[in-house]
Amino acid sequence: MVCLILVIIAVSIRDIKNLVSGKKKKDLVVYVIIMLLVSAFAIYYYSNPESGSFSEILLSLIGKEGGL
Amino acid sequence: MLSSREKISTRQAIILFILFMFSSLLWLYPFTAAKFGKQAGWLTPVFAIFPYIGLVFVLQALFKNNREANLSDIIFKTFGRVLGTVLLILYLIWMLLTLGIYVRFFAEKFLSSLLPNTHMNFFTVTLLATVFYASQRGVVYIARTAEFLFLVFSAIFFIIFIITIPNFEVINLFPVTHHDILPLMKSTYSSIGIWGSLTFVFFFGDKINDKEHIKRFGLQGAVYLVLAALMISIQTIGVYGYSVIERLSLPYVFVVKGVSILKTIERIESVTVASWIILDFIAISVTLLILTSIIKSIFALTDERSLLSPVTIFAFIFSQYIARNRFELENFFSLISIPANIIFGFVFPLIILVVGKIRGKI
Repeated sequence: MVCLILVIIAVSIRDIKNLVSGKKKKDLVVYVIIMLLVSAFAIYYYSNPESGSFSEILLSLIGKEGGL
Repeated sequence: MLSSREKISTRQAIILFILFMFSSLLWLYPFTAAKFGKQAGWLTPVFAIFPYIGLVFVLQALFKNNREANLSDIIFKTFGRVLGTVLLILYLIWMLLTLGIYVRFFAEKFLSSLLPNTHMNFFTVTLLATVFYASQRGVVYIARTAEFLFLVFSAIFFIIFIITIPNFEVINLFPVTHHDILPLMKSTYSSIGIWGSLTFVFFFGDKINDKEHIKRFGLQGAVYLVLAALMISIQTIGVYGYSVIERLSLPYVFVVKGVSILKTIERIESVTVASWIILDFIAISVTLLILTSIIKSIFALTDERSLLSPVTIFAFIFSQYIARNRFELENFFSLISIPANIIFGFVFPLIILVVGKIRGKI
């Protein structure tokens, strides 16, 4: 998880620099929001990767078995 | 003649679509054709092509008077800003799921065929890094690369078909009677979900020129797809029979494993898996471009390139979260992806066309 967070920070710095130099304010706001959501998802998943998968949750909702 | 160097032709868009769907076609098509169509499963593409042809006509009608638009623009034009945004968010969610599925399928392919003891992240990081680098250059570079790789892949695919011919057993494919019509219908339902991907390509329709030729190139693509799908099903069901194929997870690779050239060259499945990388590279690149294009339209952004990195990182994480193993992934694909793809690929474009015509917007 630490590696991934470092990658996210490095990529964000590069992208934000480009967006600021291009004076794209709206793009910057949307970018930051999406990147924060992705980071939150990364923390959620890697804090307990053994929890139920997306398929398992969705398949159980429709009353089907996930897998072996 | 192209009006801009920043745009691709409709022909290139159709090639992107063919490569985009071919990966799923090789992975799941023989399995579903054998499971539902039984002995006559190899005839599935002959039936599956009709909804696809209908879709080509629907798309042609959608873009008839909107040649510079993309599908998001047409959705906004038809439903207005609020309803249009809701529909686009649904498409966005679905394409995010599709991206995760494609990335995971790519890794599973290697894990279940050539390199079972390698960590999954090795495959996903390698592919996503390549896709991220290539996609930054834009759709034009991806389309030109796809055009070349399409020829390479088609040549490999055809050669492998030719060298599989000695292993065919005609008894595995015949007889086909009128009793096979119902199983064929079931098998068609399971496979047309994959064919609906054509709709998604038009989310970057503003970067596609000469859209008046959607019908022409779409139908040419249909001929290619029918022939290719027939070849895949004949190659798999024809060699081992439907009862074996329906129990395998990678039937195509399994068939190629059994090929021997002049009893000296064997184990050529590595060539197949390597050529499969071409398909996955294009499929994931196209999905990434579709996603960034949808986000750009929803938020009315000026440029979509900055969105590539968050979406790529999301794909990496979600490819692990989507399923714990291959069986879950295959269940998800057959039980959820196929019906959802039919809705997003076939039903929604038809609704957009009907509503647009009624409201006089298209």
